[in-house]
Amino acid sequence: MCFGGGDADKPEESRAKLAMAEAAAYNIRRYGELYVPVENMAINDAMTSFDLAADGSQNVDYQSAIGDSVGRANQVYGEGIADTQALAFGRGLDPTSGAFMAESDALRSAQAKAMGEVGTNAGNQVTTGGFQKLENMSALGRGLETKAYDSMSTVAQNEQSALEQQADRDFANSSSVANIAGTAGGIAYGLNRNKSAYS
Amino acid sequence: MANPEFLNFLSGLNDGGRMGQFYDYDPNNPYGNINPYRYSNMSPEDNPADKLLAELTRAQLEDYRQRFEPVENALVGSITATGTTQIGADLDRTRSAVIGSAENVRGQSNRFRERYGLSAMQQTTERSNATTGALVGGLNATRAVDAERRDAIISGGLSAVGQQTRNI
Repeated sequence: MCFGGGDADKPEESRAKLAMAEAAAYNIRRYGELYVPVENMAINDAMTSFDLAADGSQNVDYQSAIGDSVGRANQVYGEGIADTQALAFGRGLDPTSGAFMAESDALRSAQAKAMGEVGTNAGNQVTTGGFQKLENMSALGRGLETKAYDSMSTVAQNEQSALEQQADRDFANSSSVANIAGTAGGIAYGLNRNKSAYS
Repeated sequence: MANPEFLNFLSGLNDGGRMGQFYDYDPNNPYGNINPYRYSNMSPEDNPADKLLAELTRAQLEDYRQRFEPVENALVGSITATGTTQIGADLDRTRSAVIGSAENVRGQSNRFRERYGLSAMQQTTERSNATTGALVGGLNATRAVDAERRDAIISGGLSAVGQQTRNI
């Protein structure tokens, strides 16, 4: 027995602890090689969400979302109005008559309003999507759960659905041309919707 | 009193750039310098596992600071008293969408009228009011969306981050 002075034995780490630390190091290395480059792409995407294009114009997400939405609204209303007019003419309606012009004017106003609305909504949704991306990357850095956000195609589908409902209401409300030409106007719009590639 | 050299060393650790250089940080592979088996042959008395785990922790912190702190800064920096910093750009886009659409449709209508020998539509008060009404509606909707966005950032993503930070 020894009751004298001297250093106490240093505690030894277990081999298991070292093995776990080595496994953790291996895994984190692998994470760095596999996932970090992918994460960096997502981070870059999030951080440039609101950047302008090189020529100073809106970035491509805004351009495509707004352009597509407005274009679809233009197409849906334009074809609907054209079909309605063609059927009205077929029934002998004078295209220069005040009644016809007033109704056409009302439908054109509805078309302009719908195009403006879907363009506005599409732009706002892209901005919201940009913030969702930033939130997700922030959560990723903290090891928190990330959320799925609407893709551009989902945004477009939402806009398309809202647009069709609005167009349904506008054409249903467009009573005078339909009354003059029987129910041809409504039928024409319905036919147009059925053959539309976007329906 | 603390050793000045040690204090200097600590201040180096607190500096993102210098710390990055210290660990030879590579944003495309921030853990590439970690060797899982660096301490495998070290005596258990020298705590090799602790040393390795400390390296991992430092590397993770540095990685977080280099890649994710700028994202958090951008997110928090976008919050304003009434919404987000993107409101100006969104309002511009709204104006452009509404006014551009009105002009586009007026052009279509005029081309239709011209086919029947009618003069182009003049801008009437009614049409102007319709465009103004659509514009006001669009601008108000855009402001409302922006305010909701701000609330969502604060109560959603940031609150989760804050909660997680408090739990550390």
